[in-house]
Amino acid sequence: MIGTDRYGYASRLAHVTPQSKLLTMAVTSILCLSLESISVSVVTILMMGAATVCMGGARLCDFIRMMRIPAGFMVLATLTIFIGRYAPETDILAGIQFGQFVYGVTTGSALQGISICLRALGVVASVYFLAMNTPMTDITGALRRLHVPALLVELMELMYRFIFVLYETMHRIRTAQASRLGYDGLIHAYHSTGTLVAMLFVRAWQKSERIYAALESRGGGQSVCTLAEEYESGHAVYLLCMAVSALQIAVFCMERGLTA
Amino acid sequence: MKRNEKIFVLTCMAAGLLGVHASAMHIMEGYLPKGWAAFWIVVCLPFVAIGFRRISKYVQQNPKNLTLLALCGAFAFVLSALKIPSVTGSCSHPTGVGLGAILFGPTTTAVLGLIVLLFQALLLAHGGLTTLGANVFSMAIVGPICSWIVYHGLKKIGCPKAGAVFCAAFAGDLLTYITTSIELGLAYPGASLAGAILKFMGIFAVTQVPLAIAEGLLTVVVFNVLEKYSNRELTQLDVL
Repeated sequence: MIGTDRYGYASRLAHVTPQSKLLTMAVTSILCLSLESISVSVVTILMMGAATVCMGGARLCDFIRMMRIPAGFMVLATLTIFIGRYAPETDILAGIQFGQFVYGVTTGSALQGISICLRALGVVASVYFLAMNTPMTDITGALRRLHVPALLVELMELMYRFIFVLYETMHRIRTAQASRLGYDGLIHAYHSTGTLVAMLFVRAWQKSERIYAALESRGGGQSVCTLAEEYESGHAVYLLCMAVSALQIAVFCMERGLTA
Repeated sequence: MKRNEKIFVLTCMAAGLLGVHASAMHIMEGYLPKGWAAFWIVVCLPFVAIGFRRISKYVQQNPKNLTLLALCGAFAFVLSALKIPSVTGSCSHPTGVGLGAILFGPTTTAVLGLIVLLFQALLLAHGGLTTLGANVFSMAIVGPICSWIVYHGLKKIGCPKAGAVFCAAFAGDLLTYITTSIELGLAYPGASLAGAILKFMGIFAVTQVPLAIAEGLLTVVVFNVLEKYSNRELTQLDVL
């Protein structure tokens, strides 16, 4: 299993109706994105983190590890927002003078950067509530019920299955190449990676032909039909959704009241 | 050097070192303001709709194309998990923009790219659902269209295949990175829009220009192997 998938299948909420988790993710992330407030973002991170850990049963260290994944992009992009060019008389927190201008960080740019980072992490925490508590097959099933075009959902379901088949093939080829010193030096590494990608493409092509033959021989060549799972009721998750969104709005109103 | 100048320089250096290992140009979840997030979704819709109609037609013509397209999408997803040795010594992940566009064409790539980016957002936390529109526009629409035009344009004027493939993959990656910088610059223009775009381009150039060169070289190697061993498949895809 890859990424959030291993948590999705092991979660205590895995058998709860996926629509409830989709709704919770959508409402809390839209509120976090629209209200644009530091306190709302902090509340979203804490509440959705707590829900994933306490209700879903994920370990806190796993949740924190997952939250660190987008750090590379966040550091680079926020650095760009942080740093600006200012006139020498500007009151800056930290910076350096080049020629006529000072390049550095002001209180305003620092606050903007922090606000954007927290808002992004708030939405990430909301999406993790869905991703770490719902197997991908349940998400595609929910999309089917939400009237997303059947062909698109079918393509997603097949693609999801094939990802693991190709991953396994890729790892086997890579191990075979590495055991023959295929990644020793830059030129060898390029040649081996190129061959690996090309062979993976050829295998994918051949596999698609075999899978289609298997599907057709069972009378399922036109489309892939699967039975929907029976889910537990999502009352607890709907309650969570109402509680978190009410808290987000309350915190936003309090912050506005304090600043007014 | 004053104390606050030292802090500034050290912070920039530390951030730069962290950024060297950043993955491809996915704008992270929640990073774009709500207006821009919605705008890029709307911009993508016609391209995805055209791609979807084309795919529906393919599947109606021959149901076998459904499994083939699904495996091509899975191939693109797995490709993004592969590490390629970058020319600067670090490792990067290929975007597959150039290879996808040359093999499957830009309209199909828009739909496959949408699904791949959705899976990446949910499974790997690369990109996001709120930034899906912006990421699809840069990585599944602009990049592939550019790669496809460069590849076919160079082939038409008689450029050697290896050169055309390298230029297509390099240009696709570069335009993806430029589009992402424009998207970020438009969202956070600061004092001047042009200045903001240039600032984003400058800071992402550290990782993206070496990646574009590395991916260009890799795509040439992939094509040489494919030409040698799977001419039949390439002919079926109208690549040769």
